[in-house]
Amino acid sequence: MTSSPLNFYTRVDRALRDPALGAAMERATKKLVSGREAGMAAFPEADAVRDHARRIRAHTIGKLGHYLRQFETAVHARGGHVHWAETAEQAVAIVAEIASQHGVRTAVKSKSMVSEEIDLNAALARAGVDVLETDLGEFIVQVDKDHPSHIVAPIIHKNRHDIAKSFRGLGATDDDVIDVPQMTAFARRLLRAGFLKADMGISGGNFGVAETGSLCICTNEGNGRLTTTLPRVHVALMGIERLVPTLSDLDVMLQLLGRSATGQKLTVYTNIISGPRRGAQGATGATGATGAQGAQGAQGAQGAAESDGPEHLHIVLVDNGRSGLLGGELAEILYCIRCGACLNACPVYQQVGGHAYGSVYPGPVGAVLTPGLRGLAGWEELPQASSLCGACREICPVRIDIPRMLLSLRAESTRLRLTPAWATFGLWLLGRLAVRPRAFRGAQRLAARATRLLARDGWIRKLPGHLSAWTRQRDFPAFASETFMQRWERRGR
Amino acid sequence: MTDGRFNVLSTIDRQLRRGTLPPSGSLQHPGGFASRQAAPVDLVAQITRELEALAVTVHHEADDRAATARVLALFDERGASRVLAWDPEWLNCPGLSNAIDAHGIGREPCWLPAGASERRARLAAIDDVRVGLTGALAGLADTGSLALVSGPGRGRIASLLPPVHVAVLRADQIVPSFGAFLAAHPHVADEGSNLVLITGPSRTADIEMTLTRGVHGPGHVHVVIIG
Repeated sequence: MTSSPLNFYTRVDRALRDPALGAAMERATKKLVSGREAGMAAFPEADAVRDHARRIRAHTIGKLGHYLRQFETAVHARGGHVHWAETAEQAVAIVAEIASQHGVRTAVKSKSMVSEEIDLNAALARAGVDVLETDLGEFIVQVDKDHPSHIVAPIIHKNRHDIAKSFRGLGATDDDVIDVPQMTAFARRLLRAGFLKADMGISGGNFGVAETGSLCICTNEGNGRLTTTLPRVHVALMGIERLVPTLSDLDVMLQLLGRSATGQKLTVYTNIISGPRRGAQGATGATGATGAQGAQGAQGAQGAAESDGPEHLHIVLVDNGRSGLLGGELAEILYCIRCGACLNACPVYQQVGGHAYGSVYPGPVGAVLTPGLRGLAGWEELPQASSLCGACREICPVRIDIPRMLLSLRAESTRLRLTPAWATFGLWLLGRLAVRPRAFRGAQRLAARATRLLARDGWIRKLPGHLSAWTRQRDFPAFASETFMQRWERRGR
Repeated sequence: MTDGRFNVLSTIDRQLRRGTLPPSGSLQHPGGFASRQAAPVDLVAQITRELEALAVTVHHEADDRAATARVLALFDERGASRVLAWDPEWLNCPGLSNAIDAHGIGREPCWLPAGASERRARLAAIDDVRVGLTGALAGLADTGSLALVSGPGRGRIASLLPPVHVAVLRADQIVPSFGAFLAAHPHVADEGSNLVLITGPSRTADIEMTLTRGVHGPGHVHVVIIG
């Protein structure tokens, strides 16, 4: 999980001063929010399904050890391998080792947040493996040596002109970048060539099904299917919390995932993988067909072998800090199904975009998950990047109480003395005033007068002195001329 | 690797003993979701509506003969000289494979060899096939999805590599939902290593949220419903 070299407020400043980013964020988040709304409105049982899904997640996380063991046994029974990584370092070492065992030179990769979290591509490059990102957005991120800024729509922060420029660097002609369909076709040709020669496919996993040892990968583009079908070796990276007990439970989750993410009833390809290709062992398939004529021979020789699919399946279960959250205040964040809805709904995310958070998991979920996995030190500003409006809790398909955890993290940073001294002092002062009614009323009158002097049209653009830190990123409202208490008394209670 | 397993599982077990989860009601498994929605009577009409909303072209054919003619016409429209096809017994339409052969169109099997160089050669040889032809195990009416299970003679690549996918489905294979499909096929994970629910043509909206079809998978999907 890469930390940006700039501090949080510098990144926020930079984001807020970038008009192109502002326009891109507004367009994208509006579209995603309205898509989700339409999808949910056309789903009469949405609320009941969300309640049910939440209970499935709570149950699974509460019995995670049991379900992980069951999942492992089921994957083994189908001929797949399960690897356990306690840390990011172990996870990348495991993948590098698998690549080396199978003599892998090139790998194609479909979208995986865990792989970003553990910085897999850099580690594989060091091990001599070329990794090609195949999700269109992630491919552009890779070409630009950038970072994704949304967990579902990685290049939400870029416009077509940025992308056209990058594609020209890859040899695209004027015609190739004339419009979005042409650009997409250009990327398809380039990536298809990569797919046809890759030795290994690397994917994430949206869900693991404990009962059947199945892996569920949802994509719209189809790169998730190509990645898990064409190469001889398939490696899937999955956080340890991604399990559901049964296929019926998976059905419940799938009813919510697509609708919450983009408003789709299902993603285009809901790919459920139960073990590697069946019946074709190792190199026996080398005698396989090259044409219609050979097909008969292949069928005769292969008997009941499946026609295609990977010969080897490796599933890497990544902990990297997750197990430490169990049984604690932040355990609920492990219910998350990574739909991205809370990002789109968050007024802070809408303004600053994903990069400002400095973590691969931005937005409200990231503001809890990142300090949860990495510790608060260095990430203590993230839980402050929220107005606690509750939009994230409202929109979450499994009703995760993100504001509760943001408050808990804020309290923890004060305990750890990570909160800036001026903020601690301000809160101390407020606490003293709040229990002294006369002093409180006096302070209110003073503040009302002072803020009205500074305000224009009811808003203060810049507060004086130390207080200016507040107005660097946002305006401050002037106090009302009448206090709440005065108004209460005037209205005769 | 063994250490990783031991350490992860012991941390999980220790942490779970340490405390309770945040208030979320019961930790009991909630059982299956009992939908109160009445299943629509006309599943063919519903799946047609959903498929068309996804920009899938739906063809209703009365019998195998009409379906065969339709499929051949679709191939001719695309100028297909070869198709990447499932084996005859899985196409949901007896006689279709023979008719394709008689029409002079080559049927490429979905076979991929296991060896690295043979596999690459095979993939290079079939990458320019314009049309893929499959049957399906079921159609899901509420989402407009096709459920395909991999197996001998039923490769994944037929619905994946070519830019056009033609699927043949019998009307009695249409079920109300994925939940109903799982109830009818409780051991579907044993039937093949890959179950895919295909819901429309391949799409992306990564660039400026502009919907574009056919980025990696087929950009055009035709569903021929028999009966």
